[in-house]
Amino acid sequence: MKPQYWRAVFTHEWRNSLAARRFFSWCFLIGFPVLIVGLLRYTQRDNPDPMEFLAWGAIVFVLIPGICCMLSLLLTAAPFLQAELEGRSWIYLSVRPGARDALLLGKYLYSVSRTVLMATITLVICMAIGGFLGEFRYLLAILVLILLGSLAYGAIYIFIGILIPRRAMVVAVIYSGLEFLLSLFPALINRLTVQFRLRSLLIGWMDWENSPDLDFFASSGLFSEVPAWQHVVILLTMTVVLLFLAGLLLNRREYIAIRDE
Amino acid sequence: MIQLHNATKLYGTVIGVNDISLELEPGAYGLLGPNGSGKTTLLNLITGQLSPTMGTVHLFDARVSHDQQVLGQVGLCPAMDLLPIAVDGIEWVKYMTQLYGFSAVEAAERAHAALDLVGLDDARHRAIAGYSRGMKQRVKLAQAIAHEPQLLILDEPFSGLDPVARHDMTIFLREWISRGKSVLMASHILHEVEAVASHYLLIYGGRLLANGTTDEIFGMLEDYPREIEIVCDDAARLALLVQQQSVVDSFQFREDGQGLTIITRKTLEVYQQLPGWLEDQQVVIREMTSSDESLQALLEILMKIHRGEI
Repeated sequence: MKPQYWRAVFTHEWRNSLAARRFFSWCFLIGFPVLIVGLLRYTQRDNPDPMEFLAWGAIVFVLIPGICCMLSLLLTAAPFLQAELEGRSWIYLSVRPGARDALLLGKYLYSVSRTVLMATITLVICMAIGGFLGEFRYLLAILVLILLGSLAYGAIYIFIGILIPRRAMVVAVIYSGLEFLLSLFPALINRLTVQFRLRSLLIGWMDWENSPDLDFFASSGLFSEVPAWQHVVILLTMTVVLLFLAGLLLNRREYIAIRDE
Repeated sequence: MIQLHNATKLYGTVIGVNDISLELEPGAYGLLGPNGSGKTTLLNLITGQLSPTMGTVHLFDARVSHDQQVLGQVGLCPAMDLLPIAVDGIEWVKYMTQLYGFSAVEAAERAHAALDLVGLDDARHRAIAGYSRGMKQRVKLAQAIAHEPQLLILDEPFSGLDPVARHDMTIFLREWISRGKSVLMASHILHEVEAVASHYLLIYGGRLLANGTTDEIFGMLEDYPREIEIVCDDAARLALLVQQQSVVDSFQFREDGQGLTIITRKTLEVYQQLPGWLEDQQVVIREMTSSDESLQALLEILMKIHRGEI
């Protein structure tokens, strides 16, 4: 596939995304973590024993690479095919050679880049509110987690969107809830979740493994101390495999809105 | 250009297209059939959006399901109306053209040229959401021709158009064909197709009932009885005249008593001889129609032939 195919989809999606009518989704996705962090900061204003950075960092981790990224991807990646089917544009796209792959890759990259941008803005605002903008190591770690999380969750939601286009959002929401719960399950199954990998990476990169506050996490196997590259490879492999399967399905299945038959 | 060999498409237990075999050389074709007859399914098979449950479909000697690049030679103008999307007409056509592999600059040039050709002027810079049906149809057509395909496939292209837009569409399609390009146009209205195509494919119940030029198709019906409706002021007198004629197989009185329905295998002779029968008989003919000239009637006769009923 020539790069101009997916670039056309990517550019088209970004142009639409910056339209005034999409402004609300940007405001919501950036606004709600900022609001929560702001409220937290407000309640701490007169506290003689201020919140430790570890607690603050954990909250920001759950809010941004966790909820904020997942929500953004849920809104853009999961319904990507259904939007074309409902918008009656699929019939135009599907008769163009290579357009199916272009749609998959273009929309995936759009979802990921939009999410990364949104999450980065949110992260900077949240860190500024907390007064931790100087924590460069943490900032860098979270930025990488945002990228890895967006790549992996984007691929999962795109796959769901192709597998079950008409119920993609519902299934993706159920999946997200289940994934989050499973990642907190003190059993081997939690290793299959993206959350587990992201959490382990954060704890490893921040050297929080031996923190007494995380004793429970360590004893319950809620993070892994294997080298970081292993988590990264697992996440990237999962992403590539899911995108490959999604491409296969998209090219082989019949998606069509039949009007007059 | 297009080859179908025993192509069948099933939707579960419902047959969309039933065992169609045909071979089309480059040219202008009208795909005729009533709503629900399988026209869109057939077009979807040809454009590779559906795979045949049985049989094969080849387009420009390639199986679309195996070689999607062949779709670069095809432009599709579907029947579905564009939803009121917020992008400009020119942006949308450019985007659609880019998906044929053109760079942004070249796609923009081609999009402008295509919109010029279909006659969408300043409106191209407005959001499609504010377009009339005719304007949307022009945009749909522009996205189908911007990459200069060899074959243009149109599904109900006249649907919802006003008389001026219909005329413009007819002129455009004639010019397109005169440039040596091919057209396959699906419609349920015979005269719309007649204005553009000289070759017809008649489809009904998912089956291809006939395939040929107007003369060939009507020639097939020569030996089968057809009906002529005559509205007159004295049906009884007309009946006396008609029963003496050898070219009339049978007749019956109309339900309203205002004339006759003549059944004949020799419609042309009836038309030629009728003025002679009426000479000095004081019967005033008010209206004369052959319902068999309509597409529905034509298809019904073909179905009866197909089922061996006549």
